[in-house]
Amino acid sequence: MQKEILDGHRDSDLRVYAVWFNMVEGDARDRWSPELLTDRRVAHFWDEGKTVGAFFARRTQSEEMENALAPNSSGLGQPVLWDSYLVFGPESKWDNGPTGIRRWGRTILRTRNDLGEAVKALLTAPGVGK
Amino acid sequence: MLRSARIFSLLFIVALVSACRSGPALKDISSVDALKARFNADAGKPRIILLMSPT
Repeated sequence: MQKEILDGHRDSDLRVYAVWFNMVEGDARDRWSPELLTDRRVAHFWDEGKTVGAFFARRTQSEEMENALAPNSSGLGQPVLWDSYLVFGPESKWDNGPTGIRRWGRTILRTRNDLGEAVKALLTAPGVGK
Repeated sequence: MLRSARIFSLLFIVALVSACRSGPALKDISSVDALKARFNADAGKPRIILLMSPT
């Protein structure tokens, strides 16, 4: 992510919200590495209750989310969405939930090409990203 | 006096280097509201939400 997305678009005003939570044995807040994503455009959150992952898991069945799903995604249908990304355009607003999702996928590694393409398309659109 | 000034300068430099080395902050949240507020504060910018575990 740092190398492929952020370093590749150093001048963009992209914002990244990294939400961390325990999902597998051995996970813990003190296992979080501050050196993994150091770009100043990244905000890090620790979500002990997995509230964000549960929130987005409930939304995956919506038509908007289904239309934006990266084709090679796997491991869906769990009560908590994790190892996943969600890409939003500059027009997106969050009332009951964020609107205007452009792409999302799971796992990040498995669908990283879709992530890269979505970000590139977003940042190269006229008047977007800088 | 000169020794105290040197010690103070040294401590200041150590503190400055330590501050510069400090990494990103990890903010605790207990609901989606904090993320929602940050997301809306950055309206007009492309945004990505990452959902990850630390290991």
